[in-house]
Amino acid sequence: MKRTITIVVLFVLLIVLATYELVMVDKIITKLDNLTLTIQTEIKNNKDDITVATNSITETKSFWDKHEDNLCLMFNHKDLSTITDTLSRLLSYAENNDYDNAIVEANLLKEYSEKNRHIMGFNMQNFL
Amino acid sequence: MTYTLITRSIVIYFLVFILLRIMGKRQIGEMQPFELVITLIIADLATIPMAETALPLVHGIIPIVTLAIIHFALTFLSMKSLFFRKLINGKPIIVVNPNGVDYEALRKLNMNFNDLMENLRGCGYFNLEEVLYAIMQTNGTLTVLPRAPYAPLNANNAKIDVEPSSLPIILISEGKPVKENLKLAKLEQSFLDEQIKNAKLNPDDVIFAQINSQGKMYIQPKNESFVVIETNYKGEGNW
Repeated sequence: MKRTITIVVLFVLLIVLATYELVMVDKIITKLDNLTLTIQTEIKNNKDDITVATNSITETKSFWDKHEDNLCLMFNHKDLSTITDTLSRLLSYAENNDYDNAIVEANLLKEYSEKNRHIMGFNMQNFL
Repeated sequence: MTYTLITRSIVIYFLVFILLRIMGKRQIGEMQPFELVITLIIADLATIPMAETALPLVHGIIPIVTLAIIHFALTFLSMKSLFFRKLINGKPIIVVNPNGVDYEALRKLNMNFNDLMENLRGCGYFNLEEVLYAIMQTNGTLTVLPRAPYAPLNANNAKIDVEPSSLPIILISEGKPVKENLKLAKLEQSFLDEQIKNAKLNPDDVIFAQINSQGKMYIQPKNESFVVIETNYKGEGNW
């Protein structure tokens, strides 16, 4: 009986953890996706002075830094650090008004956020 | 980084240790196929997050816990249903019957005569004519029922009276009285001291002592040969 209870508790814990993770990841990645879209738009609309995107990038960076630690509990740190690195480079290019490099980094950031939603989520491709 | 590795190793060690304890005490040779598979995978899974610090610890913990749950589910199903028991564990196969070796059964088990003879010799039978039945159990061990003339002699078939069996209980281990066992045997420390005195031994020298329900006490002193004494103990306790 004691053993059965232990197993049921472990099973429930696993399900709760897995569900919490799915919900949390979806929330964080959706927000990151939206913030990235804003950055992309701001950079594309202000080719001559992309420093206007600095605030959005800083906001995105602080949002990401805040949630990266939580994601590190569940995902490979190397995958997560690519987003951190890209955001740091993007911020630097925006501050130096380097449009060509900034738009590449912004596009990469969008790509990473979409890719991570796929990697971190529960789908047939990951399952197989 | 070193602290991280140490902490991770400790966590994974205790997790695997606890889960294997809960999963049962079978030795590797006694495991059912599904138990062996789970044990091997758990051992492999445990090492991955232990050394790879970029991976979160839960990458090791979750698969291990999931496998433990699967193990319990399979054990539960095989306990409750005969169909599942056969499906999961397989069924014992008779490889030697009164007519001799069942070659078809051997082939089903991917065994040859050498394997069979090796197993029989392991059971103490070197000649096939000594064997009435040999059964390959689901955990891969061979059990043998010998023909009557080759069966080991025991008190029953020799028709002799013997003392009833009794399980000895340890009263002193590593020089210290085992209080739990003294209580089980309904004995006092004074009884122990008295018996050691009767055996003409120094209590400080006794490193091991056990008693059976007939009151026979085995005492092992340090650096001296053991002593067996008869006591007035009549096996009052329950163990």
